[in-house]
Amino acid sequence: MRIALVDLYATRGGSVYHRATAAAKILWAATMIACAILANDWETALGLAAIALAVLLTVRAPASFSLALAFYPVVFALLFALAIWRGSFAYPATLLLRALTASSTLAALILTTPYPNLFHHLHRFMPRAVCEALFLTYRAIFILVETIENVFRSLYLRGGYGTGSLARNLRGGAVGLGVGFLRAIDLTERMNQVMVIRGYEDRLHGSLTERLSAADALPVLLAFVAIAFSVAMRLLGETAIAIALPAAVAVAAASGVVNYVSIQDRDS
Amino acid sequence: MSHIHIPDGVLPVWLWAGAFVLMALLVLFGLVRLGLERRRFLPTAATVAALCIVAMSIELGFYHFNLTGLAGILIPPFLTPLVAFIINFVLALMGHGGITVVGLNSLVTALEMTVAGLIFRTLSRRWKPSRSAWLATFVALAVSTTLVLALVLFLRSGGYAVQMEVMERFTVSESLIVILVYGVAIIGWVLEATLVSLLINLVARVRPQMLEVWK
Repeated sequence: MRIALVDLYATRGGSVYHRATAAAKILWAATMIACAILANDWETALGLAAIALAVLLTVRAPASFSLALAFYPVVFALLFALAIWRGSFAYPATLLLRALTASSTLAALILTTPYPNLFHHLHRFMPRAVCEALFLTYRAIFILVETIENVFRSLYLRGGYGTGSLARNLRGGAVGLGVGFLRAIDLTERMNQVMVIRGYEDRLHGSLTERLSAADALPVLLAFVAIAFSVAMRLLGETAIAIALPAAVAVAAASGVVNYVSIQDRDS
Repeated sequence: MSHIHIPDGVLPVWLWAGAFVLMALLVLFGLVRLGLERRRFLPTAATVAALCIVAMSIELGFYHFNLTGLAGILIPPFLTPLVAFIINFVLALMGHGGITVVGLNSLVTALEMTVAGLIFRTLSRRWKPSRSAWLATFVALAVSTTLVLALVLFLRSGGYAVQMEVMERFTVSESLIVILVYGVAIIGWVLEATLVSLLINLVARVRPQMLEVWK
């Protein structure tokens, strides 16, 4: 299950990005995505993609997993790119690189930040009930996955799923999903009742206290680099390609090295 | 077709930003309507959203189940925008559709849920829940696919700014697009409707009160 693995890598990792606060990483991600959307040439998009990929590939999650997360949306962008192909690769390449930048950025964000830390910052932009629903959903996903896995395992062992016709598998699958779903609802409701008993009054008081640390310097610096690079490319045009693009790639590589080398055990 | 697998930076800004604004208004309306019933509905809504997320994140080649029809049947209509937003937001964080497309995707998903719920409510007065759920899901998927297709063709035909170049240069004929989309999608609708029908059959037998959220 992809979300469970993402959560595992986000919680266990020890790279600089893992140690940075969620606020700094959200700032970086928002800046990168905004710059990618506004990039109107492939050179700018390439520089931004280099920064995002440098971070993504150095957070010490398995490369195949990270790249699968980053390239999955690019497959859909490729369909658009192929549709507009007319011999010139500039605009299709910009589309692909924009998509790659955004997906790599988000992948790097979720692979280094546990979901509760992300949701914790969302209450500044979203109503309380939405954040609460997000938290309950996040919790329910893991309850559901565990319950459904158990139900499917027992179904498989009893021959009710995994063998035979499509119709039989569909029926068995529906029973597995249904039973898992009903159990998950029971567990979620019980969790809600326990929360009420413990003083929950329609408001989740987060115990998360994040303090600015030296590790925040990297995402903040990269956010500034992304903005400076995008502005330089737009203002200077051809001149910037010779200077700003190699500079952005060099910064991306250097930040990747810093992120990868300065690993720390989170338990220590 | 509960959401569009379009990454960031492809759709024009006016489209996704407008969809975000509309979605925010619908979510706020839902929250006002939810009011004091929050404790009653929120755990179920969260579990339904989680089930949809789990179903949508399991890729079967280029297809995945959505279970939005099931969600529409099990939660009240005023909560569908909130549940749709949560589903698409979490999926976008997993790289499943762009983060800027969350508003547009949520609108499509919420429409699908609401249509499925309304049809189910009407049909289940006379028909068995499983049969009503099958037809409700099938029609809801057909409606949302048609909406997305209409949107693509609308963008393609107009001289709209920004990336409309993409659509103008499309060389495939409109009728071929329509035939291809419906031809492939109908297989998914049948499978999805059958799965939702089987799930509703189970819920109707084990926990029939869950189908009475409309009352």
